[in-house]
Amino acid sequence: MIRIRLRSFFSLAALALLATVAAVATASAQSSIGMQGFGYPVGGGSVRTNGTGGAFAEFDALTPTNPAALGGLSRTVIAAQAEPELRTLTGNGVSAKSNLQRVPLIMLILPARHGVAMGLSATTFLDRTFSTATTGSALIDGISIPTSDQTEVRGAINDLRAGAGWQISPRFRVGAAGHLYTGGNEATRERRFADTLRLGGVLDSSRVAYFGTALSVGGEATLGKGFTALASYRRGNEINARVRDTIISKATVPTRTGAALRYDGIVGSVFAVGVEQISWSQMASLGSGTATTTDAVNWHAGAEVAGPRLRGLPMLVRAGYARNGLPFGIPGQTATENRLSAGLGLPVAGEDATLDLSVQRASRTMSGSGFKESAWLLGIGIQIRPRN
Amino acid sequence: MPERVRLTSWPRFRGPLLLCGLVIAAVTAAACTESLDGGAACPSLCPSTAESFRDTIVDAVVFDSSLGGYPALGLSPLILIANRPDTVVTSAIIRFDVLPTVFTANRGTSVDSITAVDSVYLRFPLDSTGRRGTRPVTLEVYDVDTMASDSVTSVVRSLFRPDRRIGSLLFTPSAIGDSIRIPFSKTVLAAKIAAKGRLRLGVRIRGGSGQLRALAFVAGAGAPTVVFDPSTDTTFAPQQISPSTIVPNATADVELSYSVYMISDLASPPPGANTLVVGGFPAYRSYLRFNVPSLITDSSTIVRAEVLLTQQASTFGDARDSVGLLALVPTTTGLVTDLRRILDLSAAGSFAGVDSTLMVPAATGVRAVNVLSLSRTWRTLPANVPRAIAFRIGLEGAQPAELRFFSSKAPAALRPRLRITYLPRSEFALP
Repeated sequence: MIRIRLRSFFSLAALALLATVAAVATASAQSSIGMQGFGYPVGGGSVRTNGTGGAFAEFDALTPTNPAALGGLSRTVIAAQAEPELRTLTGNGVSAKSNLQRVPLIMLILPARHGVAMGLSATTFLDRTFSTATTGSALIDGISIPTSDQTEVRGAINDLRAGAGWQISPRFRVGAAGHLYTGGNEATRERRFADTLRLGGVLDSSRVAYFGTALSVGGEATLGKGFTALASYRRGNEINARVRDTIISKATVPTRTGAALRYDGIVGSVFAVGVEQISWSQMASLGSGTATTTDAVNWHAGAEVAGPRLRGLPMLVRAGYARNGLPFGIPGQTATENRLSAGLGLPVAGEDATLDLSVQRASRTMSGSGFKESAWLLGIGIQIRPRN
Repeated sequence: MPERVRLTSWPRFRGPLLLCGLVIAAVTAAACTESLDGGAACPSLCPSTAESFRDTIVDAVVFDSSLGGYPALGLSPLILIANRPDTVVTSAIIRFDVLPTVFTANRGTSVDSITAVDSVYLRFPLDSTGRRGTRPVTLEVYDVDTMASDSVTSVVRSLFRPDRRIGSLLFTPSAIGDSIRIPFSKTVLAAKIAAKGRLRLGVRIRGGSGQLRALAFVAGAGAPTVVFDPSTDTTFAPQQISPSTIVPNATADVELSYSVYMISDLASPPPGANTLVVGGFPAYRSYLRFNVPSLITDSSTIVRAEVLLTQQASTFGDARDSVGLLALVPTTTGLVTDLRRILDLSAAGSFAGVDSTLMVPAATGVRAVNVLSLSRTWRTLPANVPRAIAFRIGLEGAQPAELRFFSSKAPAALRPRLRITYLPRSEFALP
């Protein structure tokens, strides 16, 4: 019976993912508030976490933030998600829209004995994908010659995590994880002159690769009366940027400290608030200095309640709010982001699989720039829990 | 008692929730469409700044020279027949070493011997481009056949004498169409056919100053023809004889070269000590080899490259008519040092995207020749291939005009130089 359900679910899920994943190769966006510096901090949250404004990051096992969340899991979990973003930038009399594709999370959780579970995940740490098409001019022989310029940057710094969580007792869980930060940015720049007879265009490319490491630890303690306290800490080690195997700059993976309070005293409901501090300024020396780096304090609040039952299992309805500081800006200006989010968790094959959907409305501003950015971030994720 | 509706029942919420899920899924799929409307926030929010272009003029010419004697014998599709005593005097030689002794009447099946020859003329297809003179001139045809060594120009030149003149035509160059027919002695042709001999004709202009540019070769064969009636029966179609020659122990190329060629009685002046010449008669070609800093060729993108040549005024020939300066791209490695060999093995500039440049020979000043496409290939060339360019004139060997430029032996301000605008390559992927 379950085999039949899973088969139909896999077909549906495969189609849904195919539609989104297939477009990843053609992703693009233009320069925007969220794409300064090393890019946009995707956060690595699962669709469930994103649907609650990031407030569930500390205890959601599919979100590779707090390794303690892995502890006590008794079933294998395979999860993947896609997250397109529809972005609109306005200001100074101009408006521009762009679409961006991401597959920000792939995770595998394997339970072991005695309340221990291990998790392997790949998440997008900083996504830097954009393109700009502008007109300008170049001064040649003292004469200003019109040009059309196109710059395209693709790539990301990814966070590959291997972690383990241990449920020491029903009230305590701890975990630890190691992180590899890899990836790169590939940039192409094309510049064409209006006078194509005398002047040739420029098509140049550049690639930089990143490599870094970090360790993270976390814990969870049940306080009683439905309250649970959670905390996690990531200590960054060196991260370097390489061009053709030559290290051109070094910095430290930003230290992150997070804490959250969960309340699940009402059956079928979970409420959480959280805060995290990320020392992005530790990455400053990795860049060339054209962007500024600012430490961020992010606040999250969210809830998940059991909704109507679907084939015997409750559908989960989520909502949340987040206020994030964006790490990269331009000199003298800092960027912030507010997010309203909502989501659904649909049990599509009993307890064996869940389809998660989320929608987030983000508003970003950069102080003093006159620009505002709004975005719809849509999430679709699958988690499969095969029976052991 | 009314039935109590459960708020959490699936039938009540199934529709709205499924609709909500479908909307999210549909919008997610729709978001897969790529859009590229970028740049609205630039330069305010553009995360990188473009490098500035750099201009430089470099004395990059390490070797230059002019080499005369072009076009090589038999390799010019055009020939110039000119009588301009102050400029250039040339004659054309056309060999018909194989004369027919029989003919097929009106393309029938019977083959008859040629027993009578009538209405003999030499037909020249003409190049219809360019201006032609308006004053009448006389085109003379000479029998230049000799048992002496007629590959020696002086020997052939000596045969242009009155007793060997076998035909002539008085005409005005501007009044003729795309070909010209010069009648000559039927007795001479009949005698040579009867003797199974050969016919070698010399053509020159006398009786006035003028010139004609004629087609020498078409589709690999000599273009001028001798036309005659092979019989007294005027209903028979005229017969044509095409140029051909037999040179003992020579290749087919050499034989083709000697079937139609030019000799000159008065040529253009040689280049001076500090001068590069392109064109003239016989024509010169000029070769320039560069040493461009590797910072520019290897580590930059060149967006403009021009060879700057300081032109000297030429007084030779049609000095006030525009002529084309055509580029040649040398392809040999440094192992080939013979300049003629280098030039013979050069490719047409069009293969490297170098266009022709129009210039007026009498003009002076700095001229720029666009070599952008060529310069962009220098980075990809093996190190042992010299970065070089050569120039030849348009209608080489078929027009009396030349371009003169100062060479690298001239004072510094007059030497050939390279003007390059480039963008240094940078690693701009790092924000």
